[in-house]
Amino acid sequence: MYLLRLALASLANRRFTAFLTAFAIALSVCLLLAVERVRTEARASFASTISGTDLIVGARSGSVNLLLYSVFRIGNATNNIRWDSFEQYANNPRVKWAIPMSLGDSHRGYRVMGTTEAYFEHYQYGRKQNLQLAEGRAFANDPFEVVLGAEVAEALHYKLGDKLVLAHGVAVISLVKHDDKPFTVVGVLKRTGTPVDRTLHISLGGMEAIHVDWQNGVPARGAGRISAEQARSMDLTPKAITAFMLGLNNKIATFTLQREINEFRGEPLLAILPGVALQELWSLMGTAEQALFVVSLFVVLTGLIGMLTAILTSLNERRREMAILRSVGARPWHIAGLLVLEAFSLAVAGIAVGLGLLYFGIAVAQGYVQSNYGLFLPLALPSAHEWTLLGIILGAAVLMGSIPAWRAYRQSLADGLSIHL
Amino acid sequence: MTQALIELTDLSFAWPGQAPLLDIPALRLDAGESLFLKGPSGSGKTTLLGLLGGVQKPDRGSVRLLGQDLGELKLSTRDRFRVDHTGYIFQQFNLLPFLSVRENVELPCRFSRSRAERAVQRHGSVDAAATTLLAHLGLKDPALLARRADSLSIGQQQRVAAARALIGQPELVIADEPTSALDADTREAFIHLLFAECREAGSSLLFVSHDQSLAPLFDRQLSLAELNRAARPTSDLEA
Repeated sequence: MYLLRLALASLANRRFTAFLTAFAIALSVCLLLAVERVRTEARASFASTISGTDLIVGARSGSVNLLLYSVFRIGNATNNIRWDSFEQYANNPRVKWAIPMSLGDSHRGYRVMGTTEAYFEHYQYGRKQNLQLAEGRAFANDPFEVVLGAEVAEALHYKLGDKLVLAHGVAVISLVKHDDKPFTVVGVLKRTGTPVDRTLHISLGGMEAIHVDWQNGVPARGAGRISAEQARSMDLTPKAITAFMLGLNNKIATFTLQREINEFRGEPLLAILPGVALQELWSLMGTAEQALFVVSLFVVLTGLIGMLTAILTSLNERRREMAILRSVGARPWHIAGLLVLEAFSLAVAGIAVGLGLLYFGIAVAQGYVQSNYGLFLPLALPSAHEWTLLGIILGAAVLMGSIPAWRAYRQSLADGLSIHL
Repeated sequence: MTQALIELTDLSFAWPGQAPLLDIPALRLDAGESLFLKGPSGSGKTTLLGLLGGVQKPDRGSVRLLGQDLGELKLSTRDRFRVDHTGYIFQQFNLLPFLSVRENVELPCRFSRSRAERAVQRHGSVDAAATTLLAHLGLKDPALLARRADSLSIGQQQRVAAARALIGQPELVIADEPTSALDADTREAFIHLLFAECREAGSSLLFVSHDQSLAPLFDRQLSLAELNRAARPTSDLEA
């Protein structure tokens, strides 16, 4: 115990270096734990991007691709599927609800999705949470109504009643706009922390209406044009959609229905289980996540090497200190112990301050991170896994401290009681 | 005279790869005696002190402290034996700057149980022992005792070092040029204090210095150069 007292007093004597060393360790520990927490929460939140949906159906391609464009609004469908295919499965007795999705247009970089009221009613994310309107209402009979995701409304400063023009295609800068048929904002959704926030929702009818006079992918000219007024009186049932989501009455039927859809003779369809596809997708992203973890481990290693350097460089100036200790009866192993304790104390201080920084950071950023990234970072005590990491860091620090300890041990044997300066 | 405190017999020592530095047929220090050992720097006195402390081992001959041959002891036992029976005062920078004056004085009792026990036996507690010793050496102010050691003047620091060497009444106090950093006035005062305290504690004093003017104050004086056969002119020099 007295050795620890000596080690701490000696450290306090070099408090500036000691502080910097401990702070470097603290920052690295904080980074490691932050990455660990975000990683854990990101995985949990990723898995809860969509919930309650039993099957997602689209044109036959890869399951990750289908998941990406239908849920994450990333990439494009390889093909559309026919409306009657959707109707067939929507009316299947095992199906409780069906949400059609029609993608492909955008508004200033945000994706537009054509869907039905069923979306607001049945789509769930997180822990089976339904979408909620922050203000306004869902789109109704008029085809030119739009419900904005929270981020779209906030970033582009739209209010209820504003008019906006959709662009054809999903490029951020689109040359072809549906400027003859503007949409009116009728509702804004609450934040979900999922891709829903970055989506503009219109009715399938609206989606159909803006493309009703298009031919071969370009708008009609002159007499072929159909005005918004004319479109309102037309039958706007779509001929094709991009994908649809299904909720079943009985989960047990999921696999049977999935197989049925995959073997559908009408056109090549693909049905995926969102959970399974999410897992698949996460395993792709897992590499990046692992890399981040490894990088933060290396940052911790850098912090510890900084400590090692600081202690090693101090050894020479402290030969006198060691000689004095030897002359008052400290054995060489006391000297070695002193240095190990020094490394230990620095690491403990680093870990404590690192934890402090982490909790402070979480407390400050919690709200922001949750509303912007949909990640809830809990202000919880370290998990068993985190304790293990901290224990390993402490062990590594002590192990590193044994290097200068060994040198000081040798040095103090050689120097004896006096040193010549 | 009773048992010899230090007894060197036929001792010879050379640093690896160098010519013999020390070759001393005999050196004896009795209990309670104060000995002035004159040695200019480079004469091997630091090495001699290392041998007396058991930090170095002689190539030949023996070093006996309280009748115990240091060469026969294991490294760790030797370390303990040294601190149990010897207090050291060095030239200067004797103290750990980051500890208080009091903590510096108490250091030997932290590492030697027998010195702690003797301090308790005599003064009631290690704390009281430190306070008494420091007071005898002219450091009475309690506020001063709590100050960092490096905030004291050199003269005060040497007195703290003396108190540290004397705490727990070791049989032997070895002082290596303890006065070289002091001016002439404080030098003699310091030595008188040291004598008084050594007598009080019953410790022998081995005082090594190049300053001949202090020699008359001691019971006995010796010159390392005369004692050491290795330092005498050799045929190499004559050639």
